[in-house]
Amino acid sequence: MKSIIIARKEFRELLKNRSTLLTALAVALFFSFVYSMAITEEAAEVIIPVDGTIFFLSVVLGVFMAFSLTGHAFYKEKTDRIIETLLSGPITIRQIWLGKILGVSLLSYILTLLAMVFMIVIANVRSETLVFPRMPVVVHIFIVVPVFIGAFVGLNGLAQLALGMRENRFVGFILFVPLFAGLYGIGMSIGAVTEITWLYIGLTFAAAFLLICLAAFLIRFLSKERIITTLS
Amino acid sequence: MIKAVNLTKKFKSTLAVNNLNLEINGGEVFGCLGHNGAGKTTAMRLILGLLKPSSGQALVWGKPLSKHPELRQKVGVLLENDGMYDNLTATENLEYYARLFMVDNRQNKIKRALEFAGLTERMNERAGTFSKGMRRKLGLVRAILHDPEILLLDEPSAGLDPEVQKMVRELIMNLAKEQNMLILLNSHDLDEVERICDRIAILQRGEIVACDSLESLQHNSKEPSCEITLSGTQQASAAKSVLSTLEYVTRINVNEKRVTVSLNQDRVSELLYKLVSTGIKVEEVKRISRSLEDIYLEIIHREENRQ
Repeated sequence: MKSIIIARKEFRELLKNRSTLLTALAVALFFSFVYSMAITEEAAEVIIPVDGTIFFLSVVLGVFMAFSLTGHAFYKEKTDRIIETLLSGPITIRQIWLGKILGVSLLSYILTLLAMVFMIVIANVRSETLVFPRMPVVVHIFIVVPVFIGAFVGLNGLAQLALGMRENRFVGFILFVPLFAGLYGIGMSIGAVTEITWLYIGLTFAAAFLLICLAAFLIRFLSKERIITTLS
Repeated sequence: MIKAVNLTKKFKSTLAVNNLNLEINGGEVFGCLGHNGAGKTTAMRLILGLLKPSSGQALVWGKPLSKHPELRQKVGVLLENDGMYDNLTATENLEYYARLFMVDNRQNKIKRALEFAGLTERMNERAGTFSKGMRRKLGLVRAILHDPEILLLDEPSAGLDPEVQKMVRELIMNLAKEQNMLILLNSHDLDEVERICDRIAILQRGEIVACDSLESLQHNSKEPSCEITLSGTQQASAAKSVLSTLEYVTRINVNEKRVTVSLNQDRVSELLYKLVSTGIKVEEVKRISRSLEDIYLEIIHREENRQ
């Protein structure tokens, strides 16, 4: 229940942060537009490229959204020292962490979903046939992507809570750049040519689920003292 | 209600709190004084369970707060930061904390809190647009929104104008007397502490070097003060010149024909003899109670010399 209260606050606060929100939305729409143009440029049969592109772009964009918004929920609360007041209240670290994951993930997911819808609309406008992702990709969008976003927010948030302010400036690059590059590389190699099967969806879900389990396991080692002594 | 037993906190080689022992009861306003780095905030964090003691215990209602979230429900805090989110309005901020603390009759309490803080007209404006004083007031009403039994305040009046400082002082005294609330206050403001605290602890290098009521601290002070009334303002100036040559005089304040003198030894009669023998006409001499500032400086200097 308390995690839900925190999640609502995070969601509301992020919505009020217009500059970050608009930047994230602009990036999402830009990439979905560019990819929808690319996949409908040459291919006569566009459904396989659309499936592949949605498959990887939804994860990459989801991770990007999560990366953009996580700092406002975790890092900023440390720099502003509000976390100290929160930790003094009748609430546990796990509840705070979970609430923030829910709030940030929800908005990240909505933005990602908007980008995917936008991409499908553009693809339909440019294509001669009706373009709609197949069932495995639909399941991927509605189940795997939110779990993946949640896992990333959880790990990134955990790192931001546990690390000092100086380390936090680098953690984004250490965690995000390799992940982003890796996902992008894998996506590019399979996106345009490979049919997305249930096996792909299952493997991606398993990876996301393992990451979220890892984050949930690691959070038990985070103490209030660690958070307080790493405040700015 | 709050009890610290041999409470010690060490950060690597730094001893932030050293063997702290204290007991504070309901209805009491307890002030902690000390320079920056004296250990006041660390002690408060240990009591709140935000830090783990290196040894000893910090107990609230006989239990450590770190392991009892349900007890933290009955504790209000206003720390260095006000706990306010810049992007949320005053009402949204209070609503958030009211929900976390499961406050009954939430809307009414928030309305009254905003009225008390004088922020009703700006209730729908973002906290980020508020002045430091307004944020502090909002932080204070946030801290008492859930009717806590214990209130921990770290520099509550910092950044407030004198009128609001007075309001905060009155609020703190009312909460302690009428609601039997225990209030632990960290402050640099000696005047504030002198006015509102029932007991005062002076911390230096993590240790309590004095802990008592103001009256007892004044009574136990080894450095007397006296007020000397002279026959005129010229005499007062002359007296100041003479007094400034005496090594046991620590402070001289001249106000028209009155001279207030602080001494580091009880040598008032010797001082008087010196004045009279130099031809200064003394009309009246009386011993006066020392201010908390005098006592604080005396204790701090004494401890520094000892170390």
